[in-house]
Amino acid sequence: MSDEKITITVDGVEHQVTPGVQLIEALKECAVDTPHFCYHPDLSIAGNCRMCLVEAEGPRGPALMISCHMRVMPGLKVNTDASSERVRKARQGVMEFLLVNHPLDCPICDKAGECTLQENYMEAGRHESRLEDAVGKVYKGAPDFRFTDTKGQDRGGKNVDLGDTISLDQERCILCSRCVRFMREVAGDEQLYIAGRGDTAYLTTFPGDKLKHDYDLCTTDICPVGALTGKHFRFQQRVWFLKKTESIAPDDSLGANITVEHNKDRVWRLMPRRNVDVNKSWIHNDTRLLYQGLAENRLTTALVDGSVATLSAGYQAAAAAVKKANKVALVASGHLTLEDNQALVALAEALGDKAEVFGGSWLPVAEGDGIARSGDPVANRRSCELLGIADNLDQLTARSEEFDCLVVMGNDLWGAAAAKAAALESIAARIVLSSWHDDSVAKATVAIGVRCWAEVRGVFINCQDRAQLLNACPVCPAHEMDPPWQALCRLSGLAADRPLPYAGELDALKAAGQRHESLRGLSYRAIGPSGVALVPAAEAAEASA
Amino acid sequence: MTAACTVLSDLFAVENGHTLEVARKHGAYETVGPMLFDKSQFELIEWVLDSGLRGRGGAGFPTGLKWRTVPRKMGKPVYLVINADEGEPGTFKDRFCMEKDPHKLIEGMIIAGFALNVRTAYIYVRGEMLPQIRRLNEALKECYAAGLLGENIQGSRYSLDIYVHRGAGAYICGEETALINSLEGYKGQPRLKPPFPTVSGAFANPTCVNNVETIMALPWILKNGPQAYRQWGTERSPGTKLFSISGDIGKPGVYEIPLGMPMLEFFDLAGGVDGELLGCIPGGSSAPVLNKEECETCTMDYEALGALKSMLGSGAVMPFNTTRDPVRILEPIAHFYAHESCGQCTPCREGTGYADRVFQRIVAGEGRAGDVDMFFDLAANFEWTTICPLATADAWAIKSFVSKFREHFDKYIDASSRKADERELADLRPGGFM
Amino acid sequence: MSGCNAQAIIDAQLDLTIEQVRERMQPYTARVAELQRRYAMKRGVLLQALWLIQEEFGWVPRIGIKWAAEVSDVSPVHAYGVAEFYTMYRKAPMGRFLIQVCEGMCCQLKGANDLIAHLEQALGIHAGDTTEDGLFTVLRVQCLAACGNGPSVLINDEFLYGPGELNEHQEGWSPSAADLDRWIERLRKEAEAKPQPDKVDSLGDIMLDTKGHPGSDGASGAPLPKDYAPPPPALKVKAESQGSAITVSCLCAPEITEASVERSTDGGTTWAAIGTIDVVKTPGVPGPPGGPKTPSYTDEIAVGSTAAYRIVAREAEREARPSAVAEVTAAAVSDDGEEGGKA
Repeated sequence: MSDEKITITVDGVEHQVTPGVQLIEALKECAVDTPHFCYHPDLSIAGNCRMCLVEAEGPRGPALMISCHMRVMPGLKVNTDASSERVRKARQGVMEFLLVNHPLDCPICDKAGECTLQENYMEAGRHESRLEDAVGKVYKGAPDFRFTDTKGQDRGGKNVDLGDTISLDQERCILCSRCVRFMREVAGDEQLYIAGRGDTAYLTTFPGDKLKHDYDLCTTDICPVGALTGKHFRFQQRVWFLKKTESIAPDDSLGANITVEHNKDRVWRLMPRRNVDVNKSWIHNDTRLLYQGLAENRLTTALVDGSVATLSAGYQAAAAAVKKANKVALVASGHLTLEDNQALVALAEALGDKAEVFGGSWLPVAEGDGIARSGDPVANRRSCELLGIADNLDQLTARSEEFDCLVVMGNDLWGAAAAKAAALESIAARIVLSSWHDDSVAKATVAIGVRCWAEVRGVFINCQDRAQLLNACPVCPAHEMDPPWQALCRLSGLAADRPLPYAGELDALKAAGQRHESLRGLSYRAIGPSGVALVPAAEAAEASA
Repeated sequence: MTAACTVLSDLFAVENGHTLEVARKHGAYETVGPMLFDKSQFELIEWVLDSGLRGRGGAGFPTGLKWRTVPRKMGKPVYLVINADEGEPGTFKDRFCMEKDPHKLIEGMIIAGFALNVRTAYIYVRGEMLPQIRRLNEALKECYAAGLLGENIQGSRYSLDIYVHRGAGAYICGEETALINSLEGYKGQPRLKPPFPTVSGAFANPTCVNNVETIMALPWILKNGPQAYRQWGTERSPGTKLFSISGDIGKPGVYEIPLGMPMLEFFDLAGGVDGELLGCIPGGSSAPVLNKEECETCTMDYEALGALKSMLGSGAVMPFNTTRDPVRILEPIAHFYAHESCGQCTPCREGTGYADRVFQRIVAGEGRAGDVDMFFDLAANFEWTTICPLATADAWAIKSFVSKFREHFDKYIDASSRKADERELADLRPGGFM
Repeated sequence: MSGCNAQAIIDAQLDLTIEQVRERMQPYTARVAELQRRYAMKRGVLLQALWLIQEEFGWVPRIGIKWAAEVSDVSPVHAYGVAEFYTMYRKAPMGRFLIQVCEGMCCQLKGANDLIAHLEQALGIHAGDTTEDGLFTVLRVQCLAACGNGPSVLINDEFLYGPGELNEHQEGWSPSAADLDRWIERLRKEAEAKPQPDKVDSLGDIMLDTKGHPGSDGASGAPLPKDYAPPPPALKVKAESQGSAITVSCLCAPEITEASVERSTDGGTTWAAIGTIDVVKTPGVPGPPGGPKTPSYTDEIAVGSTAAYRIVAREAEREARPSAVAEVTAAAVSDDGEEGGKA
């Protein structure tokens, strides 16, 4: 790829921009935000909303052009609303037309607060209405859902049950066709279409059919208005109260980038976070709905021989078991962070010869879907591999007789394959670190509650060898709980009389850098919100040499 | 019809001129032989360019220039699609042509097809014209039987199949990219350009869309040479054109006249204006209306009408007399565009209907002071802000009628019971949400 | 469609399975196969398939749309969106005789509104509705491209634009209220005499045995040979003198790869090749670049002598016939630099 920039003139000022991109993207590079509805960087260009009009110098003088369809060329001269009255007026006109037939639902609309229509109206609208009630509105809707309201007005489709996950308001739809394009181009399954024409056109599935796709909730993200809303989030929270934490999907090794949105100690929704190199703007419905199980069935205390105990009592009991043991099997987890696994390896070293590390998972690996999932549910498998942890659970079961103590952290062996895990029940002391009351906790002699993925900071390395960062949301149900790495530090101090030298996650991350060239020099700042591709080991070695 | 001017209309008055037998007696398909097959494609394209033939569907783009942009040699199929989706209010020449002389169209298609590497051609006929579709299919069958279509036409190495595609009711399919979408089994919504259809059209292959009348001029041009075609018309608008004339005129119908004829002379040819002329729509409802003074000075060609900020369009001429109310003429036009908006671009989808509703209130005697200006401003807001020119055509009609016949519109406001109504919403809630 | 009650559309839907529809559409197999041959991709069939459904059922029920989607290889919702877009597909059953009257600008000038009002009164219905006996539906429609005979009227698919039979055209004829009354009477009688209407071929009797679009399913049409047309000769050959220097230029087709310049000094009897003009493709552009090329060649002849030039263009292996001849006399350049002779 060439780094050479080209020069364009925006509102009389010259700017350097990437050649060949859409003007709307180039304007972003010039720090000019262009209001738009139908344009989406991860979908084809439809050019139908006409909101992003700019004035471009052409062979026949300046003409109004849509900036989403136009490609930048060297020497292009563009006027935006900042300098052109014509652009301002055109955009005001488009806004007026969009609102002419839009229902006045804002107070009861779930999209309010994150509605592009509202935002663009504030930005570019005509603030003095000239719409007269008597002129009336044309409400959009399929024949099947039309109704007459209490004022005798012919109305369109409201609260249409579009499918298991989504509710559709046809009246609010501005026909930008983003959802239609998403289903056709990304999901590869055309289930939505805009039927009819003119101002009576409406969004629909085939009459009687339901929208059903593993990614269909993505249409609610890209819907610029309150037409498509996810049933899971309807009327749950006003969005302006939500606080956002950037994180990574913990259920798949592609590591889709997400935002955890929380308020008052609770996660209310997970939203996709755009990363062109990973998941674009999409996440799987299952990923999106992970938050629903987050606060349920939590293990916030310790369990010793099945009885609830304080966390410190749990640590004591676990440490005693480890100390007493002749041979300890430590099981790492691809569901936990790089730092957690580093701590496990370090604990094994502290315990010396009597400890042996195992790794892997019995969860089945599926095919990738080419959208936002690789199919491997072990999200951080690569971290374990880079730390030198083998995929050898079957060895552990074969040799279970050799061990008298088992430490499992964040890896629900019994939940994944109870029959295989049964062999491990011969091990006398079974210590399980887990965030939930899962099947492994049920089989544990000592179980200790730890923080879950949404409550910790740490690194996941995805299947493309990309380091990505999870951040901690303040939603932990019991503040005294440790993140797994810290739990292991504590255990090490008690069981090996040698606490691990980690004051924070960053120390564990640095320690991991000592284990593999690719991990050397990683820092949270370097990874940042969009992650960083790991340098292949050979190159890294060369560079340091 | 002047006798000297029968490039297109020579068979219109001939009984059974639509049959192959009669058409051949009058010289049909004489070009389909060495006259065509010994020419190179490039020569044909340059001939058409030299003849100055311009697209007769409305835009008036030089046909030869369009043909030059077709990548003939890329190994992809090239399609020729005939635009017979005639629906511009006031226009009825293409229906007439297909009915009276389908063989001239087919002969022209063979010429165009040969020039552009076309193996498969389609005639997209609007759905309402089933009788004309039958006639075309009949003519096509005659041609296949006579070896004029199909593989190795007349023993040459050229093969062409022509299929009729029936539309289903959408004015916008007359726009070439919408027509291609409709041919491909999509909604007839115009596509973003570029890419232009001559490069990537139907099924992403190069596609040349030409109007019926344009193609029908080809046999004559091939027989007589490009310079002969220039004996009629003006330097930049050479040749002859079919005009459909209706409205307040003595003998409405289809006339072939040389381009550049003074408008009043044409009116006389068509039986003279009924009553006293008030104005005229010169090129279908999309063409801005002309007032009487403009009619008196203008000639019927692309440049003269362009200079008046109107257009020749499809050649649909509709004069109206002083007993008519221009407001009532605009009413069906504004309604037409609102009805025919494809629903793709915001300004057209919502704007044409909104403007129509505002206009309906004016016409119904419920307009407020300032409503005419608002109507005008709404039209200005959907002019040139959309993918295709449909909304622009509506805006032109509205703007030209309002500006040229303003007093007629104001009468409605003066008579309105609500003319003094305040703009209550804006006053009560400055900055309020709509 | 405007005027159609939403509830009526829903109520009208047929209680048929897709299997039953396939069964009913059996008689259309030949036409469907022909249509599928005609387009590069089957989706081109969609509009025509919807017409076939309308031919069979008299309107387009949703289950019929599913059938059309099947034979056109598109998703059902795509077919539904398309069917809803076009106004001629009927969303609910209509009367046996559909009378469409244009309400466009030309026809209003000719009294379309009065004619529609007359029809409404004569049939006792509003435009958009169907008479109780199920015989007549009246629709206001947009321009029917018969403005010369305005107000334009269509009865089912046939034009009423002459005093005789349907489709019999008479220049300048306009239907009057009395004409419509006569037709209503006639159609009533026709319905009495023939309770079941004949089906009208909705595609206008297409050929059923064409070879189809080369490469499409079921098609046997052969693609065009690359060289079916003769190679293109150079056009517009010009020879201009600038003293003894003669510039020969021409217009070449984009596919021309080479052109040789020939000269004759004996008035065109014998020709000698004197050189070639490089007509190279524009670098980096695959295939022939869009526009034609205008190559030129410079020759030297003695001042005062006359020569004829022609150009022989080649498209790869094929040689085009020689171009037209351009003759030039090399004129001395006068002191003020005035141009010499011209072809």
